[in-house]
Amino acid sequence: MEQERERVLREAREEIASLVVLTTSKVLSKDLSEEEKERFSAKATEELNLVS
Amino acid sequence: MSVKINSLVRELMKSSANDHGVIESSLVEKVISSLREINPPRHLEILKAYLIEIRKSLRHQLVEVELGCQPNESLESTIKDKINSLPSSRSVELQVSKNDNLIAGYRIRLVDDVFEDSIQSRLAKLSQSFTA
Repeated sequence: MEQERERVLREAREEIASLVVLTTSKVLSKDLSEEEKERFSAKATEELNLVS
Repeated sequence: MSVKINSLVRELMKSSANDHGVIESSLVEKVISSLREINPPRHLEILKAYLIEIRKSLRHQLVEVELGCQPNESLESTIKDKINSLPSSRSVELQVSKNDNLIAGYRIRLVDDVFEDSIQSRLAKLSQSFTA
């Protein structure tokens, strides 16, 4: 019984996580302006460390 | 492969690269046409060995860069500087493209390594942390 409850909870957590990520990803790709995307990309490339 | 072929291929590789050590298709064409003219013995072996070396070099000199935004000179030059600052650095050519799936950020393929920092990769990490 307890194992079954754990399994259901785990599946629900995974499902919710994937839905949140999917929705966030859709919202961000729509709502971020090209300028914001550029700013993020510029900051990310500045922090890029190829050595580690 | 014989020592002679090895050293010949090394020479051919030198002739296929420009002053910065970058393989250029025009130079490769020249090398191949001169090989055709000379038609040396065991030319097939030579050509095969030459092709292998050219492929190896191209793999090391071509860096695939995907960006979540419109590619621009500033981003490309930052990435190029980072690659050139590597201890084992050599002249590289960037093949830059836009990948909307990244949303923003970059994905860089450098020989066998992939470096990525994009909104997509951050969301994927976040998703993993929920379920870990």
